[in-house]
Amino acid sequence: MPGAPGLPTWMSYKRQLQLLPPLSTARDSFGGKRIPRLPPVEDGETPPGRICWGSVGDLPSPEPLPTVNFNVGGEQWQEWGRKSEPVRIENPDDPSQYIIDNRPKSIDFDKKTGAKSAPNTAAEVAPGMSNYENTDSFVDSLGEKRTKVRMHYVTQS
Amino acid sequence: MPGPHYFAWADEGETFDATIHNREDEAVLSLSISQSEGDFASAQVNVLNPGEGLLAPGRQQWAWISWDNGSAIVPLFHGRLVAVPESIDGEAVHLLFAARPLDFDAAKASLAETLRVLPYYDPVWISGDLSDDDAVLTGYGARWHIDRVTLALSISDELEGEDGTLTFGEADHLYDDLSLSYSEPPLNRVEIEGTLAWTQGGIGEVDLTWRIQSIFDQHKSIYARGLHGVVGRPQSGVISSLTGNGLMSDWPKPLAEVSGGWSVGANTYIEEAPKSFRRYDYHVEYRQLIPPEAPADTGDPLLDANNAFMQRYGTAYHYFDAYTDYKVDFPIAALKQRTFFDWKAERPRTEIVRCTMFADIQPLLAEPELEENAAKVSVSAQDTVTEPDGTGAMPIGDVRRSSYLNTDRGVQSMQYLLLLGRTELRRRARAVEVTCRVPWTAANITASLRKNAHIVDYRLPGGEAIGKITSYGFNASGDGDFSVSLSIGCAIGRGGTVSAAAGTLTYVDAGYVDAGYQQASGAELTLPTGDFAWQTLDDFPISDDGTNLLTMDEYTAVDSITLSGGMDDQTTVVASVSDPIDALRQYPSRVCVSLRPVAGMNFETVFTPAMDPLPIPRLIDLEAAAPGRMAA
Repeated sequence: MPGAPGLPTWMSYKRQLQLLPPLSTARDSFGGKRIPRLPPVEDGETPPGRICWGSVGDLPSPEPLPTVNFNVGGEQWQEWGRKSEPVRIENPDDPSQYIIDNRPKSIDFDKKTGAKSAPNTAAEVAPGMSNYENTDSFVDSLGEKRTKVRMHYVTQS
Repeated sequence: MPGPHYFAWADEGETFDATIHNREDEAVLSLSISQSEGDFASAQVNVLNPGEGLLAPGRQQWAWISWDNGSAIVPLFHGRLVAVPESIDGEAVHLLFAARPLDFDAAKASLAETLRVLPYYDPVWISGDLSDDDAVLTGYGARWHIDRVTLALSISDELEGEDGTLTFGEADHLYDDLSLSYSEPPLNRVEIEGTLAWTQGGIGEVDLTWRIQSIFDQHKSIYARGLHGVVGRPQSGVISSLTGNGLMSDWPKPLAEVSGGWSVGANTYIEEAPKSFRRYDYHVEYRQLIPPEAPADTGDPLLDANNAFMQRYGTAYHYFDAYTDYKVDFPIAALKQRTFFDWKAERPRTEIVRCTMFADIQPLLAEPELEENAAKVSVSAQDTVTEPDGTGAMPIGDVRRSSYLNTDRGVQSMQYLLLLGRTELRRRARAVEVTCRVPWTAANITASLRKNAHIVDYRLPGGEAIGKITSYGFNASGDGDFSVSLSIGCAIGRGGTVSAAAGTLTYVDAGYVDAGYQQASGAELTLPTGDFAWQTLDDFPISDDGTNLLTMDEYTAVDSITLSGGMDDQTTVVASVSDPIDALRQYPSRVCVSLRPVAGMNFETVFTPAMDPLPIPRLIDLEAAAPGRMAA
């Protein structure tokens, strides 16, 4: 709800992944990227000396992106947005051994407060959670039970 | 005292010796020696009947006939007895001799072989019997000549003798024996049509590896060459695609047939690129909405359509319905390819020459345009330009050429056609025949069919006539009548010469290149006889589709090469739509190559070169004013 009283600017409706149109729509739309024209359909008799080749073949299957959904007492935390950055994670004993992984810079949650909501009484903070801090939140105008929370990664000094 | 005529029997091949053959082996009552064009000389000798068989064993069959001209004994005839006897007339018999050498056929074959030279004899136009020796003379406009004394075989032009001219003034020939007649009407023109059918062929291979790599590079192949022309891995043949699996499996298979005379080269392959080419994935994350449950069918079409629309595009769909985020890693295939195509050309071609040669003759014909005053030379041949000739070489030189007649060798074939027409026009231009009888003198008995005769007589048009001796006869009778009769054929041309036009230079300025490279429009060529000029065939376009088999390479052999579904298109699409996998199915990498067809087409080229009139010698002037004596 952009422009709502007390609503931070960044909280205007925004998703992590843009919802893109299907191909049939994108192809006819000139508002975004240029979608290349579909390859011409070759019908009729092939002229002498002409040869075409190439087909689709096997394509990879999609995988759902990982989400961080959890319940704390009566609270339901559902991730709805995330920004990540690639980081190099090295073997402390051998820096030549490393992986590149995506580290969330921020994670957006929808938090729903249930009837049996109760404070988190865990004695220890989950590993890595200390690197994030709740930087902002607000109460949804639709009701007090719905809160949007963004947690930012705090750069370690 | 014998003589002045002598008759001596001799052996075959016996050389004349005036001191030996000055005999009279038979009592000769009269003799006649004659020869006509193309024939052997013959001698009819009337002798007293010897009373024995002339073929009796031990008798000689050959004879020398000679004559004492007062200062020397000269041979007149050497021949073989051919009629035994020809007739019996009282106490006399007629013997017939022919000056025909025993090895005549071999001698003619041998001489003919030396005459089988271009352009007078061109096997390209001769589909039939190449061993026909008489056909050799057609291009020369000449006839066989057998010397009556030496029996030597040679050829002699039909209009102009090679051995000089005998001149007879009015006092040198008998008044009553001069005659003039018109023989076959001359030709006004010869219409020539020559047709050569042959098959343009050739084989070759073009390598499209780099062109295919290049077009993938242009479509943002991940292994494309670097910026500013920096070549990372030039000519690696490596391409990339998001649909590499299908591209690889669909790549042309070696030896597979392609239409138009093409097939896939045996060395064609595609495989995974070496590991030195780093592999990448194209990572895409996207969000797909989970549509709400389909609304129930209400039975109202409008309402149902509205519900369907709202289910798909309604605000709730966007804001509140569920969605799922996905990621997909499209492997960027790195494929190393070598792609060859083989061509085998087979293009039937027909080259036709149509032209008309005109004779520059005096207007003897009342209606020169009539069909009967024209001759036709029509020859055709099949595949002779692509078959080895007598030297083992193909006349066309390279069967990949698109035309034969406009090559240097083809010009010689053109010359041969024109020589055929020239022969016809010249032969028929000898339309006037003059005969006369002259005394038997030392000079006059040198007459032969290789000589001309110049006859002066005020009764002739123009007062004189010159012509090739077409027949002669030496007559010596017992009553003392010794004479020589001559017939000459006189051409009725107007004389003159020709010169070939240089034309307008169309290639480069004069002197810039050596002869042979220059091209000229409207240029003329001349026959080797030097008496005829015609327009060069260079001015005529060759019927063709523009495919030059001599320069077939990866550029000239390809009409177009296109790539749809290159990396640029594929990455754009998968990053721009809600279902990248489904979208990518619409954009597979697909290569289309249009190769220039080299088979299955026929071409016909017609050459219609312009011709200058053919000059014919003016050997008798039918247009001359009457000489003074006749006018008076």
